[in-house]
Amino acid sequence: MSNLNKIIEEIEEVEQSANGQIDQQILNLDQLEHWRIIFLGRNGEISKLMKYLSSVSDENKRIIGPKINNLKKSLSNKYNLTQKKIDQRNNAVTEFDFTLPGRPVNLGNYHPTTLIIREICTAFSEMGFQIIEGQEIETEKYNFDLLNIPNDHPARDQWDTIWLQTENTNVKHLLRTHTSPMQARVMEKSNPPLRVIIPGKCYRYEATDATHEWQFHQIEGLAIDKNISFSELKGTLFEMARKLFGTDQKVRFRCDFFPFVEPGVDMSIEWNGKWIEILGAGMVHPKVLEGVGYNPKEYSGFAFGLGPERISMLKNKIFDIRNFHLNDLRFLNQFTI
Amino acid sequence: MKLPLNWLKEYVSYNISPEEIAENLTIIGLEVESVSKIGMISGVIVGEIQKISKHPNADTLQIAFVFDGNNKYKIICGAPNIRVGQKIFFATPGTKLPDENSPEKYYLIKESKIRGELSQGMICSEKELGLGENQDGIMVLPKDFKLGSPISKYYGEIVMELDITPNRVDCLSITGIARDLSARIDKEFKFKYINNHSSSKSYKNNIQILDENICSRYTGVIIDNISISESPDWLKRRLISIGERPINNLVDITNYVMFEIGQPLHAFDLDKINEEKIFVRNSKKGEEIKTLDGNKRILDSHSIVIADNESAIGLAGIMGGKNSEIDIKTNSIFLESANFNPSVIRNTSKLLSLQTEASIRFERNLNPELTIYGLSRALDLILRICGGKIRTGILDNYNNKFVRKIITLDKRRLCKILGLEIDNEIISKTLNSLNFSYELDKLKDIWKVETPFWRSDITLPEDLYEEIARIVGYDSIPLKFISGEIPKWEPNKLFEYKNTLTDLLVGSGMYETISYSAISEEMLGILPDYVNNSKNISIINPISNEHAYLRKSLIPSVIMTASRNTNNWKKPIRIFETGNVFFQSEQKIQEQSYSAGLLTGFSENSHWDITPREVDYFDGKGIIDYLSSKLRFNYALSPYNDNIYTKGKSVRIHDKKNKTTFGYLGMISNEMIEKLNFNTSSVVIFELFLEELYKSSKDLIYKEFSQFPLAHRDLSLLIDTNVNFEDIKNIAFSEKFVTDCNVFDVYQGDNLPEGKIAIAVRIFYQSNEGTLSWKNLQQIEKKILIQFEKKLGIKIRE
Repeated sequence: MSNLNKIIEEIEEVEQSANGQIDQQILNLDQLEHWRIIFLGRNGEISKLMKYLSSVSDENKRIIGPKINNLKKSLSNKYNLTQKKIDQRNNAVTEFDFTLPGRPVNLGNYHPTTLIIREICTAFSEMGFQIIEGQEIETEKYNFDLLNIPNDHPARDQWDTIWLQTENTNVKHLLRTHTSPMQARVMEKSNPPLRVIIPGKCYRYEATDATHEWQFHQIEGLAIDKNISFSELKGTLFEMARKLFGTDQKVRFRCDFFPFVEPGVDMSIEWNGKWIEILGAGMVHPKVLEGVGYNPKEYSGFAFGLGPERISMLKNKIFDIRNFHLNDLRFLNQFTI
Repeated sequence: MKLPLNWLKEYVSYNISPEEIAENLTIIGLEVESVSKIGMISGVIVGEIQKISKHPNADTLQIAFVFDGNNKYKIICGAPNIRVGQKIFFATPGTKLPDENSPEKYYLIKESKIRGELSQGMICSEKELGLGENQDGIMVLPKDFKLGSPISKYYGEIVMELDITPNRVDCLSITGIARDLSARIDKEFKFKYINNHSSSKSYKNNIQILDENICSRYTGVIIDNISISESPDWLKRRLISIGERPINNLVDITNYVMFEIGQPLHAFDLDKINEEKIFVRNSKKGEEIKTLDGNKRILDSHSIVIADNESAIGLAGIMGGKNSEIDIKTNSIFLESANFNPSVIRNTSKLLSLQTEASIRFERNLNPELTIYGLSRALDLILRICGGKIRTGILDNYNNKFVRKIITLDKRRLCKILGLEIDNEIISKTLNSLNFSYELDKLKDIWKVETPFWRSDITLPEDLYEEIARIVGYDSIPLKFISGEIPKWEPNKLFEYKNTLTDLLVGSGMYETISYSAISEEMLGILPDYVNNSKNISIINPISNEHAYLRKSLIPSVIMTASRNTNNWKKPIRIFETGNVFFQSEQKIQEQSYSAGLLTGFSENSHWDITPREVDYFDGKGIIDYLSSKLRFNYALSPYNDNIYTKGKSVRIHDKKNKTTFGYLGMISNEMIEKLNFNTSSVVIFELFLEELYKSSKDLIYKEFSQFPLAHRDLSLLIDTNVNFEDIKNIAFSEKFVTDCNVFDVYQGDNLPEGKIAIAVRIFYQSNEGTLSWKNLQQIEKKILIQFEKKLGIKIRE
């Protein structure tokens, strides 16, 4: 017992002595080195203390071991700090170039399409819309028939289609030309009230140029309930435009035609003194509701679809839509959000 | 559809600006895409050619002396058709003549010398004036044009280009647009459908519909003794303003009526029709017809032709036949105004890639009621302009009469759907203004609405809601938030998982890319083997050969993206893409979410305190380790061979029990790097199967951390080269209190026995119940070392 106390006493003495010396007597690096040898050197005080460890019981070892280790750590820190202090004192005018580049952190970027999709989805999410995704390979039934787009009708010309060769020849498969097929799929699966938003890729048989792409994204929205009105369609879309483009954004609603909505509407925003159409929408057509087994006398709703790339082009002043699929790092590296 | 405003003005007297007309039309669904001015080039005036002399220095040029009523001009001209006495339009010096190819550019006409002779202007062709396509010679004007008058006096016109939606065939006519506009701006619509000609049955046997399904109505009339000549100037100007080339008076009248009221008409030269017999029938397979454009068309059995006893004389609803064309000698004509099956017309037009003003209208489902009004209107004009005499009367073959629909319009529902209170008077007025007739039940606020024949697109109450809303104006409907029940909410976990993965990869310094979902046949060659046991899905009508197959893996996409970038991007390339892949297995179409990543070039940008090194396998593995800890999935690796990878440096990533594959990771083989034109020498790729990974990722569960000290002990081990660190780690972890096991040095060198590697590992120990004693640690370490030796033949390095 007395042995243990003695060792502890000695540890405390070393601590006091080392701290006392370094705080009051050390003025230059030579003195500091001398101090280091005395306390932290190979045969220094700390090493001497360490030697006690082999001579005490395990129980005592557990008490003094951490004490010695802590002291060693504390003195080492003190040494480093004092060294820096002396260095600074010696060099009143520092030669340290604080403008040299910092050690790099690798920078990653989101694709601008992802950024705008997230922004738009968040706007709708805040209004209670749930985000879901859908399949990109579709059938005529969902891409056209259930959306009241009859075969052999010029209305289909709005959706030039890419057809797929599959082993199953009973059903014609295609790459969805819009995200609207998900309207029918969602309604078939769930009962109202519904409020969903569906981002995803779409494809059209279309020649590409600065404003047209055969592959692009769409964001589909659908809200169904017992009393949904055109007025709420307008309010919802206006709120989205405000969140995306700012509180003062002017919008215009005009009559437009899409076979799966009635009345149909498109929304334009005022942009550099011009009206730019950014989305098509309307009240879900009674035939679409009937097609999925909803009673159009009981339920109504609205649907809309918008093109995120086009909105990104407006917001970011991108003039060629093909940039979105070229993946040139000189393009992608600018979207540093 | 072009809309010349002077023409529009015949049917609606408006007193608003062209901008306001455009805005109103756009608002009600008739979108004005552009507005252009034609015939308004200042400086172009009427002149008369008084004398022509040869150019002394050029065979193909002449010198015209032109008089404008006050001044004389000497103008060099190359047109072959100039004659003395002609009235012409010419551009005086200073005129800015628009460039036909790019409207914002122009040519400045100056006094200048052409081959040594002074030229004081330019005599213009139709095309140069923007009045038509003709550029074979100068445009010759009627004699009564006044010398010195500006072109705008005769041809000045504002023309709007409208995008008419496919439901509104009635608005493929000036009167149809005028009707909508007058309803919107509350002005009188000055047009009525009229038929004031008597009918006749005397030709019933000569004119027959052989299949009622292809033609619901065939109306026609024979006119004798007509004279074909140039159209009067007003008619020519109308056609020019709508972009049509005047041909002759008869053809011009049929075109004029089509644009005026929307009914396509066709005139046959009766003398060219065998026995004056006309049949509307299905085409025969292989049947040939030379259409008016001079092309020979070979038909299948699914088109409609107009034929005489012998052969087809017209491709019904699309284009007339050359063999019955009107010409200068035509004396008797058969004028047709018919209604053909829309889908047959559409399919033929698509099959032959022949879209005409007529076919556009027929395929949009014109109403058969319209034929008689089109015919009657044309007849009036023909008798007035071409002369001639109706042989007997109008023959009308009309089988299935159109029945008007009655739609019930309930005000309560209208207001509920629109979210707008509307007065009865406004509803009635709007219906009136669009020529809908109705009976109003004032007690119930219900209108029984009869739709006019030209609006076959209106079939449901909802269609009427739109009519009322668009005329009243969508802007008068208030903005509201959605009210009502809170919708169900089922979070889309996989979607969120993919978002998190994207966040993590971006956070780890990678660039997100999005490529095309279809790849070329050549790119199929760089598909990894692990997707090659499923079948490709090919595209029947690819945009190009570059995009002929749906991708089964994202590897070709990231490889191509990276390879393209290696030439222009001199910094480290770290990219990834998340997207769907598509394939067939067991007759089923599969669509799955994958994510692929690629690292190439150097690990870091060049930096004053860091030595960059080329990326290698462990940069890729680092990302997998990072994802594993952030997304909370455990994984193990097995060797994997594939010819796109470097042998021995590619692995399959799977769950610990080796039941589910999560993906693959490896270095691309040097042969591939060379073949794919990488401007780098080391490429790491990985691909993860997100559905599987998601299912194996655990929920986040917090565990109370230990309050007791964490101890560690280092071991220097001598291992066989075929021993994996993973096995060492597993043995360590099988002991209680072991919390971590790291490697801090790997050494392979001369002073080691053959086939051995020295590794230094640090094992961490901690207990939740108390501080571990030295003895405890030694005991645990001893056990671990026994297992090392027993299972892996590992010895402590002395």
